[in-house]
Amino acid sequence: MKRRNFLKRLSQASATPFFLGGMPVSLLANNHQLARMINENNGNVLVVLQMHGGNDGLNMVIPVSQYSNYYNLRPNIAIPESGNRKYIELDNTLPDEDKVGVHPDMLGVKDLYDRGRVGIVHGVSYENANGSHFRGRDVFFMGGGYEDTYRSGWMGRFLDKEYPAYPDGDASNLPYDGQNAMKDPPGLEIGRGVSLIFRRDDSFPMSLSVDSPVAFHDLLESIDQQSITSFPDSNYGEELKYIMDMDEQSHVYGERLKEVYDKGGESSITYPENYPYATSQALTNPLSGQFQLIARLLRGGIQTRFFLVRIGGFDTHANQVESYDPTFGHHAALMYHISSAVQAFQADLRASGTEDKVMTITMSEFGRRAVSNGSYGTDHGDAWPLMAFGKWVNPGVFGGTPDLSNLKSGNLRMQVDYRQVLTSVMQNWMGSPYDEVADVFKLDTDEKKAAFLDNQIPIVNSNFVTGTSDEFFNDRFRLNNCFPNPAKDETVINFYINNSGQVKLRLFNVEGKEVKVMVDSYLQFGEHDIKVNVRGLAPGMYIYKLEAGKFTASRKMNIVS
Amino acid sequence: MASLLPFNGTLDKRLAGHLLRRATFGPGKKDIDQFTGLTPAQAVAQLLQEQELPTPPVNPLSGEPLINPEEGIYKMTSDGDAVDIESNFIYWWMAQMNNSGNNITEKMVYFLHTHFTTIKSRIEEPTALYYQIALFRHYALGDFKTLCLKMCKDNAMLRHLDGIQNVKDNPQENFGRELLELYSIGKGNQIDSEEVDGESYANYTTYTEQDVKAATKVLSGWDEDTTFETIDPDTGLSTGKMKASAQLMTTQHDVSTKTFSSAFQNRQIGPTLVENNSTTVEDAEAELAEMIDMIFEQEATAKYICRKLYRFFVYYEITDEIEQDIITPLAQTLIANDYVLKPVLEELLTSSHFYDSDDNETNNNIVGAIIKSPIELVTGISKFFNMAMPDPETEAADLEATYAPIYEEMIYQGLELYEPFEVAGYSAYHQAPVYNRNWISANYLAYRYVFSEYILAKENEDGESKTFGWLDVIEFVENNQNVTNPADAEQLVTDLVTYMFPEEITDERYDYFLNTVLLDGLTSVMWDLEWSTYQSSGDDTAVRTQIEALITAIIQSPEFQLM
Repeated sequence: MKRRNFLKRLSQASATPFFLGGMPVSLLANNHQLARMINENNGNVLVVLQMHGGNDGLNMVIPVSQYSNYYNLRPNIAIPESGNRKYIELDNTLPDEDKVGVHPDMLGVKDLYDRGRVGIVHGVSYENANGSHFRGRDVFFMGGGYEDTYRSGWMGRFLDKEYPAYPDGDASNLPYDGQNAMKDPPGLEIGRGVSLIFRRDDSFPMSLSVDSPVAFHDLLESIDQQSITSFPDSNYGEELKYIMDMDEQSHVYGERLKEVYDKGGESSITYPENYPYATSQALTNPLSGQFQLIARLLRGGIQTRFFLVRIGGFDTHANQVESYDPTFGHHAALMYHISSAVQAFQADLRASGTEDKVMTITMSEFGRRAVSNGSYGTDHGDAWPLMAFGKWVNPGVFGGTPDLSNLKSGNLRMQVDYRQVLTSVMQNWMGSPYDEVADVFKLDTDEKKAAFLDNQIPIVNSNFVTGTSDEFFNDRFRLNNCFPNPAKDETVINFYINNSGQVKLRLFNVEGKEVKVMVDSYLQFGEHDIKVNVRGLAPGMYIYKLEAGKFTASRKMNIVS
Repeated sequence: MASLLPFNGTLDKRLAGHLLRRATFGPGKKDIDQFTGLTPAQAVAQLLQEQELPTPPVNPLSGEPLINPEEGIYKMTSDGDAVDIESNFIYWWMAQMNNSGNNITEKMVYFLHTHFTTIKSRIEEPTALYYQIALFRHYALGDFKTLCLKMCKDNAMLRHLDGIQNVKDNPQENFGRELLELYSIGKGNQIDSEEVDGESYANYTTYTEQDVKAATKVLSGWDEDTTFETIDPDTGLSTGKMKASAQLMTTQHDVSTKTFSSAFQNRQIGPTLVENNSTTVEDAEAELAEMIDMIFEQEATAKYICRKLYRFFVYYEITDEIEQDIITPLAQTLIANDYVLKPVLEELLTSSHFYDSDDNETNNNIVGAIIKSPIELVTGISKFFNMAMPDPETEAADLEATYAPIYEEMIYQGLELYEPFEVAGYSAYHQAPVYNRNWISANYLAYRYVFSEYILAKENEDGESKTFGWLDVIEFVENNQNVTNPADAEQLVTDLVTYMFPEEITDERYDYFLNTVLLDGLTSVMWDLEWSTYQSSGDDTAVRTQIEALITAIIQSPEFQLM
């Protein structure tokens, strides 16, 4: 980087060169804002996955309990309930009326769900939602209601409170994170533009947008400009300052991003590249690169709190599915992209040791109409299912299955205001105090607080500070101790599986040699008792092992004579 | 108070440059000089002069016309030649912008494209794009209402928003919704839901869900014409047609009576004749025309169009004061002239408001306050430097080599022409609250800056000398229409910064361009000497390097991003 003018300018403006970490910690303690940050900033990260165009939630999360109603509303595009491309039953432990399926190309989501890493909220929208792409997205991004028009977004306002001095600032109000300077942009948009979600009131956006840190860095190397230090008091001057700030921010953060990116190194996880089935469009997974980049930056130690990734192509008025098979086509490819990319992302985070601090939520400007149209597509609708991914998501399905016999102009009705989800995420995951969350979402009346802040959807697992997340999995997949144990002549092995499928239950001796195959067949989901005859086996220690899809577990069995 | 009253004065250099940057694709020094001293009325009259229609695209290999309806060539095809007809069309249009001179027409064509933006990958038919642009040009200064009617039947639009799939038994709302939301009346404030026939709708003050559904029915039953042989007699341009029998009875048009909401005074529109669930094509067309009349009878429509014009030509923020003093009276002018655009442009571009002279502070509101779009940036550069660019008719073979890299550069600057991310078009023209600031992100800005590398590179990516698209800075400064005296370093910098930037720069900035960049720490006397050395020896290496550095620094400045 040729230019250091930004630093020069700052050191003139403020006596202390803060960016280089030269400030003693004791000074920080005197500053209320900084002290608050040290105490409360938990460093957790939120990724928002924006599904651009309005996702057809009903073909992503299928209301199994109302299948015939579902089918009749959209016979030309309905995901079938039988055959080898039927919907995937998500969770058989749910009561019948809550049972749902997911799109057959969402095996990754099913796998994550079984591991307790997926939460689904039905019927998310806002009151008086309308079918406009632009208004819908603006409302969700700005964090208001249908009657509001804010110039800023909820992420921008949150980050503005946490890092008020971004992108520059003065010595009394610095963006510090603990003892180290907050060197990173508080928000990062993968791509090239800056969305409303990151904008704060009357100021510079709280994010940087970058698609490739390396290319970006190299690009900046070729630019050398003098900083402008005085701006006329005019609209021209304001635009000039806006551009100058962006220019300076690019240089400072461009360098740092490259450093973090290099430090992060290559991933050990393979990300999906293409939708494996032939379809006319959208074959290449547009999310893989974006998620891979985020995982890498996190591995490299980036302190950015919010990431925004986007996938387009959801405005499926026509040819959402192939005419010959509603499980294939454009929307199927999009479902696959999301499911497979998120699965790889979670695996990457786990392998990098960053899984504990990252949560991902999906958003879309609206759901699509429950009734399909004649062009194998769907028009703009209202409520949509939100998915949350991550180790500390409260796993399960929330909000209640939409009632397909009670539509509003052919659309799913709102059951949950999106802010009931977001306030939970901000308060319980991002660690923003109650009053601050109220501020961020501009909940200025008791009525609004009661509706959106006190009435949260518990999407965050409150155990994340101390606990473990195994419980959910154990409720759905478990291999219990055999009874009786020690066993003589005969014993019973009890296990529970949440998915129907091929199951193997085998017995091994302590040398690891297979001595008996007790089950090797297709079993229905649910609880199973397997009676095992152990006569004729030498007394001693044995291991029995259950294999059901990706789930495997082993336990000990003592055989006595 | 903001005012549309005419600006009583003559244009100085600053205001002449202001007018030309806003109303055209950018002036050169001689254009600004030519407009300096004119009254706004004289200047705007020149800009509004009617233009000859450009020659349609030709096959870059053979030079033969790709479109010529009079000769029976309705559709652009490559005819077996290895020609990308679609890209060729886009480069042709970029060349029209480059050649648009001191006239507003092509800028209005671009404005209309940003308003009725279509996405080429949804259309995949360059001929449809060509006729659409031709339609924009036909109505560039003309009747916006009729243009909007024609857009409902436009082949590109029929594909872009699925109009061809909108049939009576399966309404497809995509176009009907955007017609109201994006193209005509726009969104007012959202109001509470209303119950209609037992169903509840979320509504705007300007239109409701009921109107989206009713409009969709009025628009049902249209089809594209992939032969492009259906010619609209009003424009002489190819258009879509109705799905109809040989007897001209509709086959897919919804013949029910369509009832609009109270936003449209509960208007009912329907065919006069219905037989066997069908009506005449004439009746269906009349319904459409009646609906367009109905939409354009609303004052909100005129205001919506005026706000778009204001944001495009003047400034992105519309305060209550601007709404009251500028938008409302401008909308009255638009209505009084039956939606003909020319008088409105005339009024706006000659107004004291446009020249920031409607109050005592004449340099705080308007001039320099718009961020150039990438197309205005790159075309402005080639026009300012009067760079050699291929003629789209006689040098079509060179269009691709010259314009393909520029098109690519613009993508990195945030404008993928004909391929915006969403159907609303490029976000800078519709995304509140910051509108044109959407052109500036860390990435976009950096790529705008490095565009200087493209024009200063003498060779293309393959290492061949460029015929077009190269700025020979020596040739440029030696032409006294461009620079008064290149041997005078101070004069050289003054000439460039005065004509390239919208506002005067501070002494500190001037000092930077002169002493740090051009002279690189030496003195003006040394520059004079360097220049003489070049003139006697013919070796321009030293002066060329420094002038290129100066032009790079100017293009890579925040000031240059503004107009």
